[in-house]
Amino acid sequence: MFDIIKLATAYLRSQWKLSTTLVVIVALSLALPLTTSYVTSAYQSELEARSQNPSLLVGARGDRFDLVLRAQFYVGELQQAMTHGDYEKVNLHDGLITAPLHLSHTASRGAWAVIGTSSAFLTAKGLEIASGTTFAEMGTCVVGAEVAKRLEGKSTVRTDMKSLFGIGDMMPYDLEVVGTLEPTGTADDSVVLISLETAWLLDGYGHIHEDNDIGSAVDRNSRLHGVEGAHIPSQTETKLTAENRHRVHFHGEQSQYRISAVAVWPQDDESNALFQAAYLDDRALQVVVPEQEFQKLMDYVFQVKEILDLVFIILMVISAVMVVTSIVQSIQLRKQHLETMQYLGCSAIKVKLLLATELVVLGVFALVLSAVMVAVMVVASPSLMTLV
Amino acid sequence: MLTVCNLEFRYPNSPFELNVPQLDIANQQHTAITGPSGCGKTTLLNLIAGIKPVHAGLSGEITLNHERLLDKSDQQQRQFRLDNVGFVFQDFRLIEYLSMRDNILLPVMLSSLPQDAEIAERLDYLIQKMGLSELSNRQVSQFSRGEQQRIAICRALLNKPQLILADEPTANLDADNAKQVWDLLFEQANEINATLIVVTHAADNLDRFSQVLPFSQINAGGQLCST
Repeated sequence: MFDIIKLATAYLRSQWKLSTTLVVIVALSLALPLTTSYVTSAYQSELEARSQNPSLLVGARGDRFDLVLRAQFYVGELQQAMTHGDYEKVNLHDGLITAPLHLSHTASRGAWAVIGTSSAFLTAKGLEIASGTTFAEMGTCVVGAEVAKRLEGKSTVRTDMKSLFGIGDMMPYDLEVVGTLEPTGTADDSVVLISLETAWLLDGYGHIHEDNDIGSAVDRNSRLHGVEGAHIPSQTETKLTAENRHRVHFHGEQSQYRISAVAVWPQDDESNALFQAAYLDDRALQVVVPEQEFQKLMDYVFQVKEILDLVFIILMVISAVMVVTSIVQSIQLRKQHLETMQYLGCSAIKVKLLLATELVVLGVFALVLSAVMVAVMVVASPSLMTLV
Repeated sequence: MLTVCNLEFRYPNSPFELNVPQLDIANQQHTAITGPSGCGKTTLLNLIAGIKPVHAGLSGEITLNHERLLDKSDQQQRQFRLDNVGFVFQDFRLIEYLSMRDNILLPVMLSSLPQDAEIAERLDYLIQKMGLSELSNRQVSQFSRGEQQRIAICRALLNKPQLILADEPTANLDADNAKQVWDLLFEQANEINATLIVVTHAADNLDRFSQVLPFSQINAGGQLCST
């Protein structure tokens, strides 16, 4: 058998251009559908993993899809916001666990979402604190595992600047890291969780300054525009400590403060149904079932995949025709060689075994190359997070 | 002793007909079968070697040392050829993508014969005889035509066959290369005490054979002519 393999590889080496072409064609024919299938499955798993936790989302009326994606994957601020007053109304319903979501802020130049929420969010979502405590005090934060890794021991996270040149009432703050989440392998690893009050501080609803620093009036883009007594101090202290935390003060009505959405975990089916029914005709708010929205997204993905599958089938047929043609041509060109082998005493079966071995060697190389291609393409393929 | 008796052969859909009533060639004899191109010399040589076209009509008897070759199955004929016959083709029939060494070893590689020390020793001896020891791993396509035919002869001689069949071995070679090929063929045939049958249309070097048989006399029951 060793001699047959030696003869087979010698021929393939002598025809290295043809062999390489066949290997690449077969490898591509295998790798492309495999990669597509793998990536689609990965997207589906990623979506399914987050589709039921929380099982409902409340947000301002608008793009349902946008609400679900931004609230579940923390990919930026929603265009339509709701108020804390709306959240309090949601809380009036029985049989629900709720957590507000404030999605406006980021850190590390947009790489990490800074989410304002309550400790109920951690409990209901099953996020466990690996070390430290929760974000009970204003100006503190709990960071995801990936963020903790990137911080490399630093004890503060600086939020991103929201206004041009840092002028205005939305200042970047240094948040004290008081806890780290267990790794989850999801978007939760790249979040900075803060209390709703801290989020509002970042919004500019509140601040710390010297008593006599009245600063200037808020501009018309400010969230405090029109609120009596609201102002932008000349010198805002942007790091909260035990010494200055008591001096934080807010302007305006808290019920009017902005939040992005509310995550809702109904305790039972009845509470779920009643809650959804209550918001069916609401003009300002909508209740969205993330699972249904994700399913719609996956339906689009599968439609695209079906088209790709068709393309891959055509590609595979073309490849198969090329491979068969090349093999037939190769056998015809080598007819004299194969005949000579038989004249020298080689059986017809052994000649077929030699040809089969050549195919097997090509197949093995194609499989190995295909595996490498799949690995590279899977690594290089965009994650669902970058797509949304 | 090689004996051909009442051999009748014809290709399907062809007027060509081979009819050899009797041909006897003694062991270790060096025989040349001469005749013009296309007269059927190669066909006779192929039939002696057990190489016959599919669907061809064949009857009669070929025996080598009392073994009836035509009664053997294809498998038995292949094995017989492998063990007892060395065939030198007019067009060398080397596998150009293999090295010289692998080409000579090809009959062993393609059979179930073990590549033992004896084979390795014989291989080295033959390569040394050709004076190409340094180039044994070079691809055969890089050798001259004369060298290629000598490599083909070494391939035929590797198993020390008792019968060497050569089909126009010098037809495509110049005089110098032809002489080297004849020298190697005769020297090796003598060394291993093999019977040598060469078909040729060339008139030169015939004096080196112990008998020369014009094909016209073999076919259709012609008289045998011994020298």
